[in-house]
Amino acid sequence: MQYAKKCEENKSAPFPYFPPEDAIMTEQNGSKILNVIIEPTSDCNMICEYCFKGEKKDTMMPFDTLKEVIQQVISYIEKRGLACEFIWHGGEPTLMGYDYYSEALNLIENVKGKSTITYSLQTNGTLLTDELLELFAKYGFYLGISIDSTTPDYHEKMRPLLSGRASHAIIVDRIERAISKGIDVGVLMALTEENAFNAIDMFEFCRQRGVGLGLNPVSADSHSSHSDIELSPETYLKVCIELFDLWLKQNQTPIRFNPAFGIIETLIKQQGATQSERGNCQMSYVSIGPDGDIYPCNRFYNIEEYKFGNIFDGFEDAMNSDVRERLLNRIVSNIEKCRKCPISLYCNGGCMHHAVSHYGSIFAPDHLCKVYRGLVEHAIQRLHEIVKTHTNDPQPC
Amino acid sequence: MSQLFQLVNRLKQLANSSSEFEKLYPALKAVINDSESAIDSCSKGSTKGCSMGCLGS
Repeated sequence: MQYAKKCEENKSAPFPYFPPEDAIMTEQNGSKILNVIIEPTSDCNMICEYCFKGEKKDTMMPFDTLKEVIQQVISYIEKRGLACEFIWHGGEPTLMGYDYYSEALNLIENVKGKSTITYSLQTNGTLLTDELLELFAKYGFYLGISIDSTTPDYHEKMRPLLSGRASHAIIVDRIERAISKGIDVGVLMALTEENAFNAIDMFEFCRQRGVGLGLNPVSADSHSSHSDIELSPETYLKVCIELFDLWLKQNQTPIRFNPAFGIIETLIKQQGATQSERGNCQMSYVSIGPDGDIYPCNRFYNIEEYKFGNIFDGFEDAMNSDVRERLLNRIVSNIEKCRKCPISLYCNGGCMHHAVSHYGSIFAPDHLCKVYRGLVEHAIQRLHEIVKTHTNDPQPC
Repeated sequence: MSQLFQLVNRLKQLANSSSEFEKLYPALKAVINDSESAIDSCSKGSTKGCSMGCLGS
């Protein structure tokens, strides 16, 4: 019997796997890092079926705007003793080319002082030149590369290049080149109902290359409806459980697999591993678009009611804005449906964008709630089995 | 002490006392090791930190 279900049936008994109250992150005790998502361009050389960016804009962040971003963000983190990760996202960030990144990274290194700065970049991989890879290797980038299937057909259908050229073989080649240059690579796979179970093969693809695997469930959103290809929570949970067991049984050098890694780390540490598991992700994420507009994350770009401000009006002011203040209130105790759910201490209400896009409110739960719940229950069950097998302990609960 | 806490403690003891454990569950052992280090994974890199997934693995 599933643990949460059992405890629901007997409401007088507390859920036995409740993490300690002090595991809940607050803004005061929590984040030591500010994650700044920079979208240097909204443009892309692909036209993916499920892209959340909607209609493409031919916009690129002028270097003067980027300079302002770098200087103001570093000043902000210095005052607070925070580390910072610059996450280059898009659009397709590699459209900006080698010189843009070379100059930007040089500027950051010159102004960062004693602050700890790390870098990552999420790309479709097609424009990764050896020159760019060497630059990213030099600065210790984590590189997320998107690919949707282990064989070309599905990937080419969902992620076509504007040029009409096939991209699957190019991307596999770029993943291998990045690995050969010593870059920490992760594969990001967008999941729909159609390719969901190909994630099992993709796990093997990643395992053979020693790279991590992240799953990105395609969901309907406020920019464009993807209800016809949206991954159902039921399918997502089945895939996650199957992958979780594969992840657990790896008998060679283990690779990261999210969400499994996050869930198990949450259980072991009794503290959320990902930002939304640890508390309100708004505490530590902010994103800045090509025109300098500042939003909670790039899923909210161009939705005026979620805009914190613009970099030329001050990063500090944006971070202190009423809009951000309101979003910081999206904590479990303010989400009615999460308040009494023991699993909410692991997922913290999930993703705010999922809540808004599916239920129209930041104070709604994530529509993938049953996935988080199912994974936590499954993980606990597996941990019990492992302990029981090796120690003959009786099963609690 | 919650039952989860007891379960995790037993798991950690097992992981640290049995060489077989690492052979059988290297991924789990790696997480346990990491949880016992002073390094907070959240400060290691946030692209691994968005539960929605669009920021990488």
